[in-house]
Amino acid sequence: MKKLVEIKDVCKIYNPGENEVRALDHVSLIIGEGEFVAIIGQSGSGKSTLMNMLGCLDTPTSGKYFLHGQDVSHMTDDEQSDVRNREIGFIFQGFNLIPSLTALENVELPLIYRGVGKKERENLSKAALNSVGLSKRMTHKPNEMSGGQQQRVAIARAIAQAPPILLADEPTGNLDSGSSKEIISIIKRLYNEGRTVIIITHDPGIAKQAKRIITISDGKIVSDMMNPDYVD
Amino acid sequence: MGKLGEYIKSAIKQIIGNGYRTLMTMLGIVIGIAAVIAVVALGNGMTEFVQSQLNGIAGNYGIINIDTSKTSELFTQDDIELLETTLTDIKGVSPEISGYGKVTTRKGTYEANVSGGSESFLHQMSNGIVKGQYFTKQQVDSNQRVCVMLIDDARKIFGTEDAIGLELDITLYGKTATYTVVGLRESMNRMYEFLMEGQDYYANIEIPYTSMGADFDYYVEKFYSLMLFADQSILSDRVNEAKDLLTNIHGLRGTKALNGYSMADFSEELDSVLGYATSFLLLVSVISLVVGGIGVMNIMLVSVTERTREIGIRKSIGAKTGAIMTQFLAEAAILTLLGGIVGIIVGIIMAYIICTLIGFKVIVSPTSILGAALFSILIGLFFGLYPARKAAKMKPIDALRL
Repeated sequence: MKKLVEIKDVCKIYNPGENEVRALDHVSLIIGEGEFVAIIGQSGSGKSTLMNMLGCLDTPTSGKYFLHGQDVSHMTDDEQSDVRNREIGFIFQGFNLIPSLTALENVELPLIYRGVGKKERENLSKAALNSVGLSKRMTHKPNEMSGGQQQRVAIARAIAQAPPILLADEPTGNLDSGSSKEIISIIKRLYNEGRTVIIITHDPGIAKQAKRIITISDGKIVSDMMNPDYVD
Repeated sequence: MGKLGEYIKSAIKQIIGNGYRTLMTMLGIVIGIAAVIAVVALGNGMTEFVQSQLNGIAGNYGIINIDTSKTSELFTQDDIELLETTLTDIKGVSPEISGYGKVTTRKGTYEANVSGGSESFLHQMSNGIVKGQYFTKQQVDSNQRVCVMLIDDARKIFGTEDAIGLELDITLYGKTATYTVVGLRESMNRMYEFLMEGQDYYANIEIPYTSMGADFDYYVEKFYSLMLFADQSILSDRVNEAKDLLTNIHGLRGTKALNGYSMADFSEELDSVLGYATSFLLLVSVISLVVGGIGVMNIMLVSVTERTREIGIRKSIGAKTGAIMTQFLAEAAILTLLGGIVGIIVGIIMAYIICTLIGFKVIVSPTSILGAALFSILIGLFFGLYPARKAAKMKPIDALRL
């Protein structure tokens, strides 16, 4: 299995000095291509910081982060933007769609930033929306859709540009149980199609859906194991 | 670049989406640009008005003087003939002598300014002859006692416009002679009335310089000043040529004894004075434009704060600093451009209304329109820069946390 994500001895310290908070305390982690990983921890455990680190949204205080063998821990803002655009598809708890844009336009956004031409962009975005079952909602704005539908738009946006990693931060946190199931089954399907999926959650029920479960507490990885209950 | 088109499209969406706020933000720019356009039009109209009115009073002439402290030479009748034959496209050359005295008609006695000239003296004012005719070369050459005045003066001193053939006594330096009216000039324009307002009345009487010499003991064999009449476009050049010719003939090279100036010089001076007035007004309008620009900056800053989350989302999915910056700059530029366009329309309407009310000709110059449009975009870019940078420099993680 090829290494996709490699974190080496990463620390993230907020407020260095007397009241310092060690959100990540010498964390090392390797995730291979095509894995389905859940990172679970209580609130304040450092899982969000780890997610920001993995998503190139934040830089570590110390340690290194290799993505596809490339050191991304000390890049400039613009280089990080580029990496996020090419390598990572984000699925956030709060969906994070732009309210003034339609579903289709939201999905097209990362492709615009990548510089994909109009025709191709539209085709890719429509295909992505089709694959999450929203072909009839393309011209709707976020506030005209249910939470589950909005999260599906967000998933379409994450996969439209076919990034190697899907990074989902509490993807079902704002959803009712019916929509949650729907979203989880879509994420599972994407994994089965060959994508690397990383879910960050505090919910053991969600974590149980993944193949590998990493538990984090007080900024340290306390357990890392294959899920014995995993079913394809 | 296709990306830029996308940014502009999204900027337009944003602007339309915030309709009311857009209008209020644009208002400052609209007022500023409208003021600039209206002021420039007003300035142009004023310049044009003053100039046409002045030309209306004075006609187009130049004057060549001899400085008698530097030479004893004086101009002669031969000089006049030489200038008139050499400079073929001028209207004529005339001596100019004048005196202040009295005229007596059947109605009464009035103060009068009497000027003597040749038949070319017709051109010293642009008011044409409306009754009778100007005195002729024969009348000048034979010292005839004929005179010309404004129709207004005729109305005043004779009590009638039918003054051709009427007689009046001219008294200068204790001598009196009786002259016959042969021609009347058209009324003066508003500018003249304005200039003459509050002054004591006097009549302007034009007579042949030869008669003036014969009747009132003026020395008219030689002159120390000549008037040259020509169209304004060639006036300056002809006055200079005449000056050079006369300098050579009288052997005055290097003495600077001759001075030449023309109405055209005077117009230029007037132009520059009016230019200062216009510049001052322009400065005031530009200040209002800058205030409008600060308004735009303010709103853009509010917009950046409001849309922090959107910026975070955009950055998290791969927008670079430049992309965010372009988006906000485009928004500010379009906002001000729209304001500029509305301002231009309002400005033109204002210019029409104001100029028509005052009675100026409406001159809206294309340069001022183009300049205003360009300037409004520049204001957008300049005042949009700070908010746009602020937006672009946000860390995605900070922007998303809200």
